[in-house]
Amino acid sequence: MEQLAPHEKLFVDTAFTEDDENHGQIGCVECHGGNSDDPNWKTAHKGVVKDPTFPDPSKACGDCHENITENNQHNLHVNLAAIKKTVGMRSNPAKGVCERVDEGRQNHCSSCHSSCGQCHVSRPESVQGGLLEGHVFKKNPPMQEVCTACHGSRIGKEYLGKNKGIPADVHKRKYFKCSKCHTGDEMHGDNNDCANRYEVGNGPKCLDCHEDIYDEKAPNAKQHRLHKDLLSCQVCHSMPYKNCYSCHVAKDPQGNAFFETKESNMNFMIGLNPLRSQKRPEKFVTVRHVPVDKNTFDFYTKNGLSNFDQIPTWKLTTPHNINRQTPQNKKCENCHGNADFFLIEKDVRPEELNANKNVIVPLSLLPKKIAD
Amino acid sequence: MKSYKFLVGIVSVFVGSFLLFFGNQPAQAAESESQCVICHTSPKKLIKITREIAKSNEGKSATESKSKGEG
Repeated sequence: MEQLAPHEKLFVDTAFTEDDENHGQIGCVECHGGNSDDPNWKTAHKGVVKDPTFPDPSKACGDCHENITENNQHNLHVNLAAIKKTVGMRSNPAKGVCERVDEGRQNHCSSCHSSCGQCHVSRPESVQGGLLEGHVFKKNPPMQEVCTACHGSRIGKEYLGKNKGIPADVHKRKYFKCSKCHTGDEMHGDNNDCANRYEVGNGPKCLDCHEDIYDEKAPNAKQHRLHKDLLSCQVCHSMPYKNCYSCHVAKDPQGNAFFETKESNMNFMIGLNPLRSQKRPEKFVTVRHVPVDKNTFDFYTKNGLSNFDQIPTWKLTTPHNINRQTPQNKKCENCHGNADFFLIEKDVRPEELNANKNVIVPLSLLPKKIAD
Repeated sequence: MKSYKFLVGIVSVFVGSFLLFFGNQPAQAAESESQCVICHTSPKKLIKITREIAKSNEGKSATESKSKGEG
């Protein structure tokens, strides 16, 4: 996404200031502070808060939108609980070491949070910010300037069909924006302390729209009924997706935090469901390698992730490049009697075998070849 | 009766004019006095200020990200 020029990032449209029904009646100072009577911009900005909605939006938004701001602490876009939990589980518990790992997490991983303002008023700070449409409040955040600006390589490119040779998601071709499936209720959280996005109560399900796929007379009903609760929808309907194998974080001599991801590839892997539950009962799901290795926090401390094997590096994933026909669903024998699409032992790095023992598909569980 | 109606008419015109004139005054004054709105709605002023900021930051350590690879 192209960056805005410095003055474009700060430009306020009079369409906003004159719109009394969409926050235009609220004085700038009421949310941002500063001195609106001072003609000297340097002194006028003393005490100005760029994003008055982070970390606590209760003052700026809560008076009118209390039902949303009361969930703020549990909102995964704000608290990044999934990262905190996974880094914490892998972290070396020794005193002095886990603190250094946590410092690394806060310096690097936690900078990618969002807030009310960084979805509805501006681009997120993690992509250099800049007001959306001159500070006009956007009820539905624009997809490419907000959602895929952050969720780029692993959602945006897949959904928009920007990976060479891989078509866009069928829902994109029907002009669906993210908010068509991911509603405000899901984005704002359900006020429960969720460890990851799959735990959020009001997340989308394919069946919300495709409710009749198991009906006897539905197209392809036989296949859908045969594989019900055995395979996630993505196992048959997603295309190859991005897998990253490491991410190393550090600071330059000036103290600026940076990261480096090295190896990545496009791949498609079916593994055992590591988060099997009533909500996600499927035995086989698509799995994606996440950007982490044992040395991710070496800049901060040696052996920081000594409990690396606690959780898989191949995680449950729901890729956003859904297609009706895919390489794996063209013929039964692509999966039955064929290990190519499955995450088996040889696909996993030797040093990660233990971490992924619950995800790797044993040869004995591969679908049997169908008799002629 | 005629003079009463005339008096009511005069008073109504006076009150209406008063409200029209002074009723809008505070809002217009507030708008015209907000330096935030004056600067932030003017691309010309913003360009001038952001150039000033860039100039004052010259020579300071670069903050561009040295990050490599896809995030």
